[in-house]
Amino acid sequence: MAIGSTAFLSGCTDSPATGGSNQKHWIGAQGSEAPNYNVFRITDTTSGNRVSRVLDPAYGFDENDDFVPRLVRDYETNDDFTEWTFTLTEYGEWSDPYGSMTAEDWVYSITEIIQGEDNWAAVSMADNWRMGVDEVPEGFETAGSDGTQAWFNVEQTGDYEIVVRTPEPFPGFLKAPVLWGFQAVVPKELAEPYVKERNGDGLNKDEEIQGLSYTGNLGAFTVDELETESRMYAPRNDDYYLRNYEGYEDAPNIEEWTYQVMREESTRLSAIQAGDITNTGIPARRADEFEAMNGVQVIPTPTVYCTSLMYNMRADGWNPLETAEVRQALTMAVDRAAIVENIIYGYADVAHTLQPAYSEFYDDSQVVEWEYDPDGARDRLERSLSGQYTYVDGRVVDGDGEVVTLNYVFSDSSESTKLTARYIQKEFENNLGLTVKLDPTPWNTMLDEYFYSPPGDARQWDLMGGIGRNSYPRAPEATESYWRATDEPWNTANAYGYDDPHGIADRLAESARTTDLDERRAALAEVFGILSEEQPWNFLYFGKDVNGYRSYVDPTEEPSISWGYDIVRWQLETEQ
Amino acid sequence: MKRYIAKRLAWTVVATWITVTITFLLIDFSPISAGGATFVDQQVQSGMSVNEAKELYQHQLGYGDTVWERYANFMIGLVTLDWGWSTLYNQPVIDVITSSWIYSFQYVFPATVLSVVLGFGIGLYSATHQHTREDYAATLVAFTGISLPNFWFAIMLILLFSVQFDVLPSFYTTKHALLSLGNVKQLLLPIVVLGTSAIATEMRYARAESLEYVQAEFVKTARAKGLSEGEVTLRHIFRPAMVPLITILVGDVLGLLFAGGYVLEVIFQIPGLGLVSYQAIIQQDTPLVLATVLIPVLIAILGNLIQDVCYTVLDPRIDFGDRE
Repeated sequence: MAIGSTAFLSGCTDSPATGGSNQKHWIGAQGSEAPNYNVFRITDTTSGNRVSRVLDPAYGFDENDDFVPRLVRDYETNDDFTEWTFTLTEYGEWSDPYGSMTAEDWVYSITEIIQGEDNWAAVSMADNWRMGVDEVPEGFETAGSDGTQAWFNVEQTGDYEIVVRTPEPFPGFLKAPVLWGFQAVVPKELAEPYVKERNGDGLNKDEEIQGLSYTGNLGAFTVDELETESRMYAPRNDDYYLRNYEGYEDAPNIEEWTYQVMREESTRLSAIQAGDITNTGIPARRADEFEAMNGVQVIPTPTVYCTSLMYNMRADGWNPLETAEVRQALTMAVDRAAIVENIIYGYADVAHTLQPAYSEFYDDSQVVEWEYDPDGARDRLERSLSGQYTYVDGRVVDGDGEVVTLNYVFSDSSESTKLTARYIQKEFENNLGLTVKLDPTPWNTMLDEYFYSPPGDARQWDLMGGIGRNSYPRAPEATESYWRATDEPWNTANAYGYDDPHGIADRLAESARTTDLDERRAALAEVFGILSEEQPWNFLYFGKDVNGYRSYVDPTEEPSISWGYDIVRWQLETEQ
Repeated sequence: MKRYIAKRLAWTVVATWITVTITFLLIDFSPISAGGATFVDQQVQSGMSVNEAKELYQHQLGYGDTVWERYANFMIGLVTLDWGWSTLYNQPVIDVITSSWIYSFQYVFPATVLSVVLGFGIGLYSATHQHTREDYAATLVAFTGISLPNFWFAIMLILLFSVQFDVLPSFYTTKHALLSLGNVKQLLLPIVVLGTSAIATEMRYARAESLEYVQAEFVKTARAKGLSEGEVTLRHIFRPAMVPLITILVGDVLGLLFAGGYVLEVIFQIPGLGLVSYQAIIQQDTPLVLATVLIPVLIAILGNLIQDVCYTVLDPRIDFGDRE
């Protein structure tokens, strides 16, 4: 494999990787460089996508939420959902000299690296492999220092079989972000020297780890070139293990795969228009234009992210925001359908709670859908204002008669976030008599100096825009941390300080252990009903990804939140 | 001269150390990067506390726990030529730099040569043919070149030659070998964009500087002695005009490489030093920032030294007090 400029300087002829003229060569544009190929630390989509081309995940789900086997071929669970048995493929081979991929590699990676002592390998998302408990049961190891967390027990029970035991029933395990999409496994032999020395830095800097050269036949493609700020080139893997399974005999249908870094949007759009690349994201504002072009198709796909307006309910926020009726009034005062239509160009669905309407845990009969009602909003706010706040001459004023001004901080990096902020400012101003001061701020400053800072240290904010949160429609219990009330909310995911009067976090924790699916469904439907009524955030919308492809791309799946799970079978026809 | 050069080289070391230290402190005291903030946010959503997540992030960066420890690590690394590990690209800094400089060089160098030769040539011609039609035409071209924003010009050229006429690629890719037609084709547009603005700048400077000498007494004397117009222009106008032009040239090359270059590298997706160093700054990849700061600082300081030495060669009236 060539990294950097060595390949580039190696000869005077073009490399075999040819461009857009070869219809079996997929060139996908990425707006940023992949920062890391260490599978134990990856948290970004760019790196994750690249790894996915050369290393399959454990398993996925299709558009109907059915289990899609990959490196994990099958699973079983016991009656109380505390024991999950996973069968791995027997055709998996690492690159030389590591031999077959077996359960031993998986157990080693999980128990020695992910669950390693004091997180010596600085693993990201290690929390996925533990759960909160009242008391750590016998046979389980304590995770963390306060005794409220226990690691899952992971054992090898056969050459290709692992068992994961959880300290409490965990019926949603399969669809929780634990093994679903899991790729953090490397050959035991490769990792062993670093594990013995507890050398996380060494593991991270290992050439095979950072060069993805250990992946053998475990992915549809094999990395051939990784060039900084430019591209990853990976030709088809003829030994792909998946070809041993029915329906995948010819997978992948693509001969070569290139991920090309293209930081500039206009360049990406010019390139897909010119036919120089196969795929790129299209900004919603230009989707219609590209849809109308010859040679380009636009496919919108739903996402699981809910873009919301956050309220500061901590001691340093405007205190009426702690009252549900006030928050309801604020929701009623904003025309979310207009935001979706005019700012997001229709590529989103209005949100009513932290669950999309297509989720099996969304129940129409439980969810309160606040309609846009400026007059009703104004009445409700006036009724709900208590203590020192009141209306004078149509404006909300404080006890000193001073006009109340709310500080609305938002991430300045996105045009739609800016427009949404301006629009909401006008809505609050016109419909509620509430003055809003806009405070555009860089994303990192917003999180670090406003959101995750304690009152006193934090800069002043009452409203916050530009934050999207995963709704985990397959395992919504994963949203528990958003609502958990603590003495130091700014040190948690509930940084806005929601006091959770209805015990949402506990209900979610309880639901995660509920073994009866109907009961669990009912509990979750109730939770999302309560959230829709409470409006701890103004749930604005669930955005869609707008994907642009050359017209010769023929996907084998329907648009869904799983989009791309079957890409190894997508067809590339001859371009007309 | 030797003493002068030795003193200047000693100053180079001090100036470099000051620059690198200031850069280090600026980055170290900056708020967390966008990538870091996103990482912390993700960890917190999965149940970790903010403080733990920040610690984990620092652990992954591996720079050291205290400011002093980090500073000492970086400085020792720079001196011992172990420039450390880029956290942005997860590879050795030296690898990032050695793989990226060539991409910048292959379009900056031709654009610079082109702009110097054409810019100086046209500027000189304009100066010696003041107020002629050619002079006005050259001035018009120069102002157009200076006025066109590089990013806009680049996008327009892509739309024209890639999308509309489909004769040149719309972006740069590393798949072509250095000496291949494919590589030449994809370098044409960046060279044209960079060259256009640079030619214009060089032309205006060359014209202005040369005009100072067109009517000078020693030029008149040279003409009176019967020298040909070409000899007068090159030896008596261009040579003294070169002194200030060299100053401009060093500054311009650096400017082109790290400022003008960045815009072009983003638009054409050329994985050169400009792009890499800019990304390093905004993502606070300290080892890479220090290395990429070190290079232009050294070039600038050494460039100035070379420039001063050149002055004595070009202009007999300049000396450093030890001319024999």
